[in-house]
Amino acid sequence: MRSEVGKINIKVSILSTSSFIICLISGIPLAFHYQSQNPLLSVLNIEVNIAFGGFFRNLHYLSAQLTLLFMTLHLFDSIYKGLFKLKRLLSWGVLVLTYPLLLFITFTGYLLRADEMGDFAGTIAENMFLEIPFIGAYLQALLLAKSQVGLTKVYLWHLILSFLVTLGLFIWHIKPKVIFRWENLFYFLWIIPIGVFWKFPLIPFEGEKARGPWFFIGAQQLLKFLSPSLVFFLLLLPVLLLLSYAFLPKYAKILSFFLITYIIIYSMFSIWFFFD
Amino acid sequence: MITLLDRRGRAFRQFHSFTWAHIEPHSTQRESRSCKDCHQDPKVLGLGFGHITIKNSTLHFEPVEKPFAQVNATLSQVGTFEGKALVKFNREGMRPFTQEELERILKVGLCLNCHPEKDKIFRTWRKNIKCPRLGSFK
Amino acid sequence: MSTYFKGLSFFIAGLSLAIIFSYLTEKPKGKGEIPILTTGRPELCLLCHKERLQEKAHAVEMLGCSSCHLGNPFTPNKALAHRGMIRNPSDLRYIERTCGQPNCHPGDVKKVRNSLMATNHGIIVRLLKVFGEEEVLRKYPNIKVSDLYKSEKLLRESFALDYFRKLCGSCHLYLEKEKMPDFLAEKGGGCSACHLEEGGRELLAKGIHPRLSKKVPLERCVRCHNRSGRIGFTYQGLYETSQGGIYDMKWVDGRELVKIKPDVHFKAGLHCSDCHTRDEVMGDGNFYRNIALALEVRCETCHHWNLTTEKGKRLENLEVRNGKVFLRGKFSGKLHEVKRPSERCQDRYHRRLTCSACHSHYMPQCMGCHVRFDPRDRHFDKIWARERKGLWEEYESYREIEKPVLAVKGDKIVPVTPG
Repeated sequence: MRSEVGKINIKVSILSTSSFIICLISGIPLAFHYQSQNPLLSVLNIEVNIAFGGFFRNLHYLSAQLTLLFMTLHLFDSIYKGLFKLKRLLSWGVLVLTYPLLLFITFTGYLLRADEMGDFAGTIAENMFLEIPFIGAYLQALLLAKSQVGLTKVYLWHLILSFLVTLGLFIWHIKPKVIFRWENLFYFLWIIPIGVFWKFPLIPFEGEKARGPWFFIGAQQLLKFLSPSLVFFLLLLPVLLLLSYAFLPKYAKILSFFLITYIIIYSMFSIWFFFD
Repeated sequence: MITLLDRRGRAFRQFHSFTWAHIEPHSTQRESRSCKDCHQDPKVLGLGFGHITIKNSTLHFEPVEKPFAQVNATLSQVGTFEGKALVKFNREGMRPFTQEELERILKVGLCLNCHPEKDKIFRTWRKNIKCPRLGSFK
Repeated sequence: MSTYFKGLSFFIAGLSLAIIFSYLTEKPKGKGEIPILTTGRPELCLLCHKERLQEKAHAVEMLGCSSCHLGNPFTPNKALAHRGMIRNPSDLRYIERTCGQPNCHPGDVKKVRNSLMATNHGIIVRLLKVFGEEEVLRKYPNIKVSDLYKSEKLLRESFALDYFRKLCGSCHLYLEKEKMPDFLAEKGGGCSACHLEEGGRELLAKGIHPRLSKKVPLERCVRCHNRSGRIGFTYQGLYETSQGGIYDMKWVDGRELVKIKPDVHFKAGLHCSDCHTRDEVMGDGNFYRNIALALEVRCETCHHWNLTTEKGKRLENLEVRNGKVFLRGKFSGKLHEVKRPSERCQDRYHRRLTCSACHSHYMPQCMGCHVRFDPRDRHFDKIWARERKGLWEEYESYREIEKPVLAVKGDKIVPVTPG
């Protein structure tokens, strides 16, 4: 079986880990000054008054996006090279589930900025949860509860899930011996100058289209045509597809076809949003 | 009048569109214009600068401005004594005074040479009243 | 390995320098408490900007800067905060996001855009017809000034529109404020053409934001309404001479004016907006073909004690007291008794005369107006705000301020002037 699978791209693996670690570290100074009861003001306070606060927030945002990007590449890489054939069902399942977890963490981070765009995204997400039959209201109260308690729960989930994902990944998946070597230092450092010069400010709402985080733009466009529960199911569909790789390794090609079609359609909807 | 020159400075197209516009002048005064202002002034009635004379018992208009060649009208003229419009107007349904209207207005002007504005004759006037000084003029 | 560490130490040193440098340069001037508006919205613009606003309706404590001028109020970084900013928020191109946003004046967006001061439809159609360029009218039956900003061949090469761009193009609401030289800089700019106080630059230098006011004084109307019929001049007792003679004063653009007897309403202290209603001036939402259709106030509205305009709208500033009608001056606040017409006005011989046929005593009349187009010279295009080929020169045979000429319009007798 070994002969059928290729070798994982080590650069992408290290890059996704390094940006994840940068994201964790840059999050620490922010956590000290962030107040979930007073979100927007405390974020602005970090930007204005805290030494290097704006820099750390910027770096946190950038590295989070990079983590998502490289994680996606890493995932495709492992599917392309057939690495799911090496994993047991459980471990593949857990690894695949990290991906939606990371998306959720990034999304909560987006809400925590509490600018007007984040606010709107939160409202959309909450209402989508509420549309899920039977358990919708419970899920909403458990995961977001923005309309009930503000950003308190969102913030706690952001911290707790980040901690759990880090813990899990470092115990079962990432090999610190491979990552933390002097030769790999540049994998970490290159993100910082980008964070210095490329700014991601908070965005106010100015009577134009309210836009969620980039990975949910397609969903926003889909919501114009489909019912929210259906859109919610469509968002979960790739996770199911990814999980089935381990169940049906023989049909990997068909699954990949579905996955690619899904991604193309979803990105087309995302682009459509800007021209609509 | 519009003249379009070409690159060598020669007129390649020339056309005219004399238009008179109804614009509220915004020069309102408490007292109105005098009777003579309208009843004796051919310019105000749209005939242009000139004189009103009586020839062969009928009213005549003699312009003082030279008629403008292309339109056969003077620059201050809106219409002819016969009521024909010589210019365009800026709104629908506009026209200069007709001959009948002009004669009716100008005939009052004849009275104003002797009778002051507030003379009671203007209130008691009847069609059959004949002016002894105007003689054969009807 | 040693080169690796050398490179690394250089990189880290450079990086820390970059971070410190960017921190020092981008640090906002004001530190300390985050400015919060009364709406609860934080507004970081106020960290640096201390300009005072004079009117309460747009108080800085309530609206901040970004509500009108856009930009990003959530970042202390100057470049980012100023990105997407609009110097003149009332420019009709962005009006939905600024003055016309849902919380503020949303109803006026469509009205003003359809008003004749924004479309100039009547003027443009008249010119196209005079020049015989019906093909433009066929393609653009609802041609507006905003169409002229397009660089379509048909619109670019029309003589009539070229004439409009160079001679008429500075009197409309789509004109971009401060883009043109001299006195033209203060004209145009959407809402601010009428509602913004003059001398903005000098005020801003003192840290005061120029005032936006509901009341529009005569002077601001006359910034534009001083050509063609010259009613803006005549009303205040000024007459533009045929130039080059004796004069009493010069207009901002250098034209020589003499003083004559002003309108009685001017003497009583009434401004344009005392008679002319909001719907006439700012539009009522309809697309009117010419000014006569847009106007609804007549002499009779007040002087016959009708109280309502032609279109059936009640004039707010007319008050009835002790069986008499009074007009409340918008600027003076004084009550002016509205006098009824005398008996003479109702005599049966003169019933076709409009009020102004008798009560307007004089009117500027330019005889033999002549326009010449010379492609060898250049002329300032007011729409695109730059010099372009083709000079339009205006000539006239003679000009006089004379008793208005009368003509018949429908069943009424009205004053006319060469237009």
